[in-house]
Amino acid sequence: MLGAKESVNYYEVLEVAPDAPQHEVHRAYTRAKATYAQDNPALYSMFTKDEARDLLKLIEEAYAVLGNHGLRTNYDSSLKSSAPQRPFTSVPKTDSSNDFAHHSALPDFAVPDPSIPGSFEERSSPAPTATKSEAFPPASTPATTPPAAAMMDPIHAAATGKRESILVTNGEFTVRKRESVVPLMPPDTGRCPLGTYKIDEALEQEIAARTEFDGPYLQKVRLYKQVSLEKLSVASRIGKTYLIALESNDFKNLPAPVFLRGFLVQLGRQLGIDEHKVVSSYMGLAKASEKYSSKYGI
Amino acid sequence: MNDFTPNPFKLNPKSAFGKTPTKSSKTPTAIWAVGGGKGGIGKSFISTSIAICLTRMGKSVTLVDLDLGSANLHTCLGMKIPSQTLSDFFSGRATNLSEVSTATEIPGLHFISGFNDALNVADLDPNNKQRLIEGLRTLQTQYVILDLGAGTSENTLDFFLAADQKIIAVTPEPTSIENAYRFMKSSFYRKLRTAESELGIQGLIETAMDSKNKLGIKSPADLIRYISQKDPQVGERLKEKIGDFHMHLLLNQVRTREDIELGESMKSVCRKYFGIESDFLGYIDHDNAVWQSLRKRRPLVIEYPYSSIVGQFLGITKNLLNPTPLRAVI
Repeated sequence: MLGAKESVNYYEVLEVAPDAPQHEVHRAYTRAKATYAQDNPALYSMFTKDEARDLLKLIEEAYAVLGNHGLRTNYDSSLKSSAPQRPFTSVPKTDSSNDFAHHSALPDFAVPDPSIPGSFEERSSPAPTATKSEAFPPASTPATTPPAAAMMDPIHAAATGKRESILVTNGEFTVRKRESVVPLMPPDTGRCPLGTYKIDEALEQEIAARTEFDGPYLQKVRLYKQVSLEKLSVASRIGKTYLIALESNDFKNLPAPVFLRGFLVQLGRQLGIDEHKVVSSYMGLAKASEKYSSKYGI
Repeated sequence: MNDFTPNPFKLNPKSAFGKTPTKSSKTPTAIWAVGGGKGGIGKSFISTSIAICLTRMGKSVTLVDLDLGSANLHTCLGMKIPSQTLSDFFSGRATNLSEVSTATEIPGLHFISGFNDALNVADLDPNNKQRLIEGLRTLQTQYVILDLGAGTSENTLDFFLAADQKIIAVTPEPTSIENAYRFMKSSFYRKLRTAESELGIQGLIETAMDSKNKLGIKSPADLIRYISQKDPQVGERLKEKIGDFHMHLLLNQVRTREDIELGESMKSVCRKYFGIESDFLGYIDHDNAVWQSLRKRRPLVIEYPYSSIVGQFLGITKNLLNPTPLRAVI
């Protein structure tokens, strides 16, 4: 788009009135996301794929601010004073700020070693784009499983009683026993459902012994396990806005308890930590918070 | 069909609709144009149906066939070729446009045919074009509906831009979508050209377009934003000038739910691309009744008055007449 990106107004990006209630902002966001999805015929001959991707990024950026009660209030006041219009400072400074631009370039491995065969096949396939990764493996499948294999995997798992990973080579499906892949990993590499990471023994023990999980600690685990916010959001099907709110203990912007509970279960599973501990401790925190309990009347 | 129920659209000159409402001389004639670039997407069908729906609402309407060169609107209406057509007006045999207007058997509906073997829309000279546009404004009916031809010839664009309500017909197919956008872009740039000569800012736009890659200008919205930054005053006036370039998207031949969402998507794309509001007027289902009525050479609204598409057309016409959005009251 135009070089003068500073003049972009988030309300114009999402095409909502500045006084639109929150549910309208959300609806506009879902609609905008569907509109600028890669395969939408309505874009044909008007916007190129790259332009559509830029617009999608802008839409995500706008919703990250307008979808969050606190950030939206800040943004509104900054609009009124016609000060700089990109108040991104209040977003928790995680690797997520880079995610917008570079998520597809993020390595799955802390120390990628191309000399090890088998464990890096997926990297030779085209980097997952935002829309492609929509069908990312569910929690039960290993991270190296390409999307198409996710459907085959449970059948195999049921038949053999073992978890297998299916790797794509030269466009054909090759079934390979998981056991044969694992030993090829560097010895100090751990594995969680969303990828591999370098093991830090002290931290491993600390996480295993931990019973109290709050937002910042969940973030710490996530960063330790090398899981980007983008990837987590796709795999867990939780909106990035909610993940950010979750990790910053921003209870006001969290959904009703029944949904929050589901989110926490997902989060625990994806990060490879005991979801029961996560649920019980975080729900306790949320319910104890004045903002959360008054919002949902509990 | 409907032998047992009275047909509200039955042609009865003695009915309440029988009296042709005449326009009071104070209110100007409103011009609605139906365009869309691609051929065969139902422009003639849409303009005929909207025109008849308007007469059902007690308005007087003139339907004008501007698909010069391949005029066939008389067939849609189930008429013979009128003795007087637009070519008589252009050649000067008829001095007044109302002389070539023929009353149809539908009460309140008049028709101006563009039929002539030798006449092509591209050959229309500027004088006659101006005469025609002025003539349309002075017609004695409340509404004038222009059925435009396919393609993006300058004359077609000028008729489209002269209209008060600009309707873009589109079907949910890539070819139609592409041509609809092409048509929008062409008419938008034509509008921009007239606006820039009126404001005397040719230089500004030309410099912007010369170095558009350097400035990152990829769409009209970017261009307007750039001009507003350069000179806020001129930017405001330019926005005002092109502000009436408001298009109504009408989706025809809809078969699935996803097709309907295309309307909203196109609206958003237009807004992001042109930087101008447009709206999604509504959609018409794909229905064999259209084809059947055409085979019978009878307008659908008359032939199948109870079909769901007629309901959709009535809704769309109402929307055009009174564009207040319906809102649920909770």
